[in-house]
Parts: sequence; structure tokens; C-alpha cells
Amino acid sequence: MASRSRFPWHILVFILPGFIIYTLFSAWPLLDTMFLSLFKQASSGERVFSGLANYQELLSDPHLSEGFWNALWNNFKFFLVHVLVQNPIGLLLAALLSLKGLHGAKTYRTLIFIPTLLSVVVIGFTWQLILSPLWGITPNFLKSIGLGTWFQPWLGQEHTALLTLALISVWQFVGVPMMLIYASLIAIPDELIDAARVDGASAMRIFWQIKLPLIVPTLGLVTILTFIGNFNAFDLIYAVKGVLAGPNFSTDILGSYFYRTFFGAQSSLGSPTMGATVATVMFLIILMGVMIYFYVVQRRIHRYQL
Amino acid sequence: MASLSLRKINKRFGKVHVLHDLDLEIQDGEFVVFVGPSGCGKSTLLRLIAGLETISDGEMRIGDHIVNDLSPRERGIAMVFQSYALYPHMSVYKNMAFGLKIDGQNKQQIDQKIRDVASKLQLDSLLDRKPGQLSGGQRQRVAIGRAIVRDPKVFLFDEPLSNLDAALRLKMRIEIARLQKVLNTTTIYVTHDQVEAMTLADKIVVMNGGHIEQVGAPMELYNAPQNKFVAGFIGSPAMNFLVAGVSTDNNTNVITLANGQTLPTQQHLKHGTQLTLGIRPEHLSLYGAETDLAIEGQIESVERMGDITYIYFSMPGHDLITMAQQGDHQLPIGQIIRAYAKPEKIHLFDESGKAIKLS
Repeated sequence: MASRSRFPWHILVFILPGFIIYTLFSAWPLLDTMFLSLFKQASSGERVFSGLANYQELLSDPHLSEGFWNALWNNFKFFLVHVLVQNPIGLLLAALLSLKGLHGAKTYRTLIFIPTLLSVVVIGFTWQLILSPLWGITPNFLKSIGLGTWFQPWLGQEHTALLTLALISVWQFVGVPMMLIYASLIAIPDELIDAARVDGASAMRIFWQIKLPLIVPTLGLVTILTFIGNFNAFDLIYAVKGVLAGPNFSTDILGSYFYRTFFGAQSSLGSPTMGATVATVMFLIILMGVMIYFYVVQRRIHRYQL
Repeated sequence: MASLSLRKINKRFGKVHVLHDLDLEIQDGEFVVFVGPSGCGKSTLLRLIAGLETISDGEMRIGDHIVNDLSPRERGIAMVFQSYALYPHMSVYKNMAFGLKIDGQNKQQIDQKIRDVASKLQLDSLLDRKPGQLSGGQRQRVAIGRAIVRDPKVFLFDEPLSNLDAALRLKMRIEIARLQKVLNTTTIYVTHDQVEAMTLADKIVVMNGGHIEQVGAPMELYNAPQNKFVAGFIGSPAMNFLVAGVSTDNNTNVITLANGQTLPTQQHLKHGTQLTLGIRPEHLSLYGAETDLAIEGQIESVERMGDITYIYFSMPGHDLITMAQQGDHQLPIGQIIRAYAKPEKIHLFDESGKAIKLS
């Protein structure tokens, strides 16, 4: 009889692969980035420990902080457009798709989801072609339906470029909230809807008073995923506007700002240590957003057993 | 309160024809049970009556009004669903108030009605709870309360007890029967459980394959099933069926069983006609007279309940024959047994399954 309990080696064996992969590709790079942000690089290439000096510089140095605050504010606007446009449209599409007896629902679903699968580079290039005042189809198209005067070079104006890019991103990714919301809408049992119909509720009332309250957890999830995606965004800006996020940095968001800080752009030199600082700040902003969501918002949201 | 009448009701889903020319009259205050195997169309018929599905063809009246094109609310029906279908995000009170608010009744009226119904159903202490905090039986009562509070002309129940455990099912069955007697509202109740049908109904509608097989009071269906399907469906355990034929003996027709036994009949049946003979398990007995029908078989299984014993025995060419005997009987498996049945308890069915009278 073995009365002494052996060390549970098998548990270690099961945990180890995941632990190694997570450490190697996620935890360690993150910690190393944070660590790097605590150094300054001398012109000789030597790295000197400098505490939180990089952070102070980033947030207060006129040269650096102006760009940072601009990028942060733009990023909030970018996120706001997604929350106010992408998610409501996703909800609307999902609600329409989940209607009983809608012909071609599967086709619509696929078509709306396809842009999500395309490369951002392709999307960016395509929309540049569509919107170009010189060889785009939009000016002629608007003229042909009598709205020629409405046309503006939306991607080229400081006050419209960011909104236009945000809407392009909405166009590409609207399929994601649509799918998530659609999945939770069709999970609502038919009998519940039948009961509401027997109670005399109209389709509108059923949507607002029965379906919507039941999918609130999904809407919350969609919002936080949008937040994470938007504050990590970079590729669309880079593909359409390049590293300078023009005109006059009006489309600069944290991702593109980080890129310039880290790798440098045109005349300015890149700084790995300052780049690491920006990256860390981005991580902290997202972490804060997610924590607010989990500790404040999600605790108030009730999930109902359907 | 209202009567309900269906005339030549048909339902098609695309090319699938699920209900065929149904005619049915339901009197004011009657408790009607639709019963049949799954897929027989009973739930579809209930949904047609509710207004949740459109009628493909035919005419439906509630009271004096044709309701084919009216919404569920305009029809004045209320429904209790199999899964209860309570709104999970609303309290019991709000669940019951939802339909009343849509009707545009004022708050005081609504409150009065809800408290009335809640006290009838012992829901008083549960009004602030959400459905997720209730037991199955409580949810069932809330679902019934939500229907009653609407004060409908017709109650519809779609297999309301199938999600409850056996003990609770019995309790709720008695409760529903009591409530219906008190409220005296026309009620249509769908179930696949023929015990529920027998115990609750004033009138049973037996359905099969989108057709109505027979309509009648429970005892009518039990004593005089019009066809083999109803005979086999009503009664538990199910009726035994024996292969039989018609032969001529001294110029008179007799019914011949596979074992050579004959039964006299006054019916003019053609020589050589194939028949099915039906005997309910409770009409088979271990003891009998010489004039009784007697069959023999080998005991395969014995179930002793204490008050009743079910004996299953095999006869070549037949399914297991079931015999129900009052009291406790200890019988060894494998023994040859002889079972008797009084001729007046025997049912006869022709080749198409239609019932024919023995005498």
C-alpha cells in the first residue's frame, strides 16, 4: 500500500506545453517591452536605466506629447464611430437575418461577412480607388445620380479623413458583430417569441422588450472586442495613409504613432525604448478599458438562462 | 368563453401536407384533449388555433367570428407552452403584466388582476422573483397564471406537463383539472400521454398522420374505438391484437383464430376475410368459462406491482400478449399459461383497421 502521495507529475506534463507557449510568445515579450521602456538609448547605442523618465517625456515633452495626445484622441474618435455605427448596423443586420422566412438569408450572411476575410491592404487600396477624386468611380457616380456637388476628397481633408477611414473599417468588419449578435439572437427559443406573439406583442415590441434585453451580454462582449481591436488598429491607416497618417496627422492613431516612434519615419529617427514606452501605454489603456468592462459593466449585466 | 369550430381545415408547409380536411366542434366550456403520437399534427393544429401558423385552407370560428386572419390577441386566446416560455428577464409580476399592458389596461386594473390570479395559484410570494429562481412546478404555475390573467375565451395548452417529474405531473394534472372546472373556460390541451387525455378531457380528439381518427368522451373511446389505431392508442397497457380469419362452419360464418378456436358472429363477413381481434390486457383473465375465448402462450415476463400483475406471454405469429391481473400473482417464467376473455369484451377490426361489431 502506497500511503505517501506522489508528486502529481502528470499535472505538470499537461500544463507545460501551454505554459511554455504562453510564456515564450506572450508573457515574456510583454514583460521585456515593459522592461525596455525603463531605459534610454544613448547615441553610442548603450542602454541606460532611466526609471519612468520615458513616460514623463511621452506625456509632457511638447515634441512627443502633442503627437501622443493627438493619436489618443483620434483613436477615441475611431472607436466611437465603430460603437455608434458598426455595432448598431451589426445589430440591425443580425435582427433582419434572424427573421423567419427571409429568403436568401445565408447568401446575405456570407456576402456581408466576406470583407472581413479580405486583407486590409486590399480593402485600403480598393477604397482609395473608389474614393479617389482623380480616377475613382465615386465622383462620376454621384454626378450621374445628380449629387455631383456632394463629392469631396474625403480621404484628403483633415476634417473628414479619420471619419472616412473609420467608416471603411466599419464596412470591413461589420460582419463580426453581426455574426456574434446573430448567433445569440437565434439562440433565443422560438417558444419565447411565440409566447410574446400570443400576448399580443408586435414585432417591434418583441425586438425591444424581449430579444434585446436577452442579448445585452453579447452586445457588451462586442463592444469590448471592438475597443480592443480599435486601440490595436494600425494596418488600415498604414495601408491608406502610410506611416505619416496624413493629412497633417489627422488620421494618426496609437498604432501608427507607435510605429513612427519605434521605427522612425522620414527624417526622424526611431527609438526602441520610446517605442516600448508607447507600446506599454497602449497596453495599459486597453487593460484599463477591459478592467472597467469586467469589473463595472459586466457585473451589472444579467445573463439569463434561456 | 366561446365555442370553437373547425371546418375543412388544411395545413401545408410548402409541399408537405400536414393536416387534412379537419372538422371539429368544441362546445363552450369544454375541456378538449388532442392526443396522438409525435408527428401526428396535434401541435400544428394547436398553433393554427392559436394563430401562430396560418391556415392554408378551411374556416375556423371562435364564437360567431371567423378568425382565420386574426392575430392571437384578437382571437382572445392564451397559451401555455411546453417549455413554459416565461420571459427570463422579467419578474413573475412583469411576466403576467406583459400582455395586459399591451392590451392597454391601466396599472390599477393590472395590479388587481395579477394579485387575484396570484392568490388563486399560490404565487403571492413569488411575484418579485425571476423565472430562473423558480422550480419547474412554480414556473409551470406562473405560465398558467400568465394565461389566466388575460381572461381569454380559449385556453391552449401545448404538452404543459412533459417537463415535470412524475410526482409533480400528477399534482399539476389535478390542479389543471380543478382550475378548468372553476374557470369554466373552453380549453384545448395537447399531449402524447393518453393517461393525461383520459383523466382531463371532456372530449378526446385522437389524431394520426394529420387526420382525426376519432372524437369522443374518454370512455367512449375506451369502450368503442372506431378503428384499430384508436384501440391501440387509448388504454394502458395497449390492447393486444390477434390474427383472425373468417370461415364457414355448418353454413354459418365463424371467426377463426390462429389456434383453431372459433367464435360465432352474426355479421355477414365474407369467407376468407382477414380480421384483427383486439383484447385489452385487463379483459384477459386466468380463469374463464367454456364459452370464453381462450388463448395459450408461454410466459416471458412478469411485472408485479402489488395491486396488479402484468403477465407477458408469447404466442407464435404475434407480438407479446399482455395480461393485467388484479392482485399479486407469482408465476414462473417459461410456464404455459391459458388466458380467457369474455366474448363481449372482444373488439374486431377489418383489413382496413375499421371496427366491426361482433354480434
